[in-house]
Amino acid sequence: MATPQLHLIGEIKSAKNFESNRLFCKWEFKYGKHLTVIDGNTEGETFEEEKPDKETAFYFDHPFDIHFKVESMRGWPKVVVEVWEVADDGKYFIAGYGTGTIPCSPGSHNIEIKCWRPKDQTWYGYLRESLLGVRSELATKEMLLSSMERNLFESETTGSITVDIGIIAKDFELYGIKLS
Amino acid sequence: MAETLGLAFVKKEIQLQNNLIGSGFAEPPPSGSKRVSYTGEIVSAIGFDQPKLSITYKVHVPELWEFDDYNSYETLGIIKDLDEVNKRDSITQFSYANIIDYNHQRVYESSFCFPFDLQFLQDTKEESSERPYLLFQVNSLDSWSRHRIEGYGSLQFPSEEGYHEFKVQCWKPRGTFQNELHSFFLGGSVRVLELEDIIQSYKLNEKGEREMIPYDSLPQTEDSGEIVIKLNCLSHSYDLKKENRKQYDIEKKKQDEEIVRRINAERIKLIKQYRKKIKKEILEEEELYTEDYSRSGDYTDSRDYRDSYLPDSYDQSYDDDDRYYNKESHKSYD
Repeated sequence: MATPQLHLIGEIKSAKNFESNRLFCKWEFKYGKHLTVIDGNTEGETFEEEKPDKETAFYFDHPFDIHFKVESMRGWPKVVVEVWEVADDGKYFIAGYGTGTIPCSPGSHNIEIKCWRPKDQTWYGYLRESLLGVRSELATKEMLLSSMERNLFESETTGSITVDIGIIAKDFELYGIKLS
Repeated sequence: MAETLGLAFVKKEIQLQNNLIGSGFAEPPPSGSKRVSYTGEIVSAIGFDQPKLSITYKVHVPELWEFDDYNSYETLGIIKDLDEVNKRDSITQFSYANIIDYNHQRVYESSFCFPFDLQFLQDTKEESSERPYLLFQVNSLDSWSRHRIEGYGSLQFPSEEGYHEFKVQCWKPRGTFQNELHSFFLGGSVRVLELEDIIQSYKLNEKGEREMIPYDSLPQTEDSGEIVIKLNCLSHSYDLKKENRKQYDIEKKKQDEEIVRRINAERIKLIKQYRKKIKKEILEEEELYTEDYSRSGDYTDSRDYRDSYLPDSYDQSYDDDDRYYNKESHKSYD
């Protein structure tokens, strides 16, 4: 009897409510050590989308198709997105980080990931941001998936990313797991 | 040639994948208990008065439930990463809000994307509807770094497995006029002593007995905002495994029987066809034979027929015999 398997098939659909008119998005699936990737890429990067002023959202439609083998309930996959803006002078800076919980029930889902970015609260930081266009980023991205180091950390809400995802689960019930 | 090579490649790939997948899964807890896992995140807070918010949460575990801190399959007996999984209480970052349209109102929304991962063991021998709670407290910090409490809320974990999205409505206690004044100018607000109190509907009296809280002494509250939470609920139990396996075995047996039945039917069909064919052949042969036999009746007395069916030496020997007979007869006559 084979180990339970999980297929995640979908696409990074769109981005909304960001300030800039040029945007791209890096995405990565994070999972526990008891999940193993059998097929597919777990990380990627969309193309740079330039939005006309009339439109309200950026459309990426970036596909992904991942096949996992699951050996424990712990460490259910999560998607981590990292949105980058391009300023008019061609400078790249961070527009938002976000994590989304992948649903466990089979079927098609629509997830909205609300992004945030770190905010420099000091006066010096504010000056640097407004004059030089330098924004603070996260040094380590482990923080996105943990609750450590969040106390008294300050962030700023930005836009949101929409992910369409279809989930196929196999053989979970034979091991006594109820998904839905 | 190329096609066969391709097929071999595909076969090899399938075999490789099967080898990769293998078999095995974490052992379920023993019969009579159930492992329940809640993984999810605090997504955002909508509609609070202050733009800069932080949420603290705490898990309230009722009777018959306990934290499942590790299982032997995962750690091989060594306790690891306890700090990240099953965090009893934690605090999010301070998130500065955006203004969005929500229910035709312009309200503050601050996003957190704050993950939590909780695993419990539930005792299913006794039936009870109690489930763990997530208790929230929303704090705010303004530009003069004055702290205020913006709301309290509680969420009872769902009993149904699957993907859920919740909106937790929050409230905050209203103090006296003096307290409100203090809160407005200097920060600070009326608070609940312990977070567990917000889900308790009784108090303990001097004798240690449960007693309803009198209506008059309940605090006055006011609405604040709501917290958006998304979570997955998964359960893992031995009984379910056993049941499903049984069903699986029955179905598999049925399938196997069906396959055997089909194969047999096919075989019988083939055999019947073969027999028909053979019978036909035999009949045709018989027909031929009978034809020959009937035709041979015409030739019984003819010399040609006899000649053709007699062995080659027959004539000679017959002649010889005849001669011999003749000779002897000659002798006797002599």
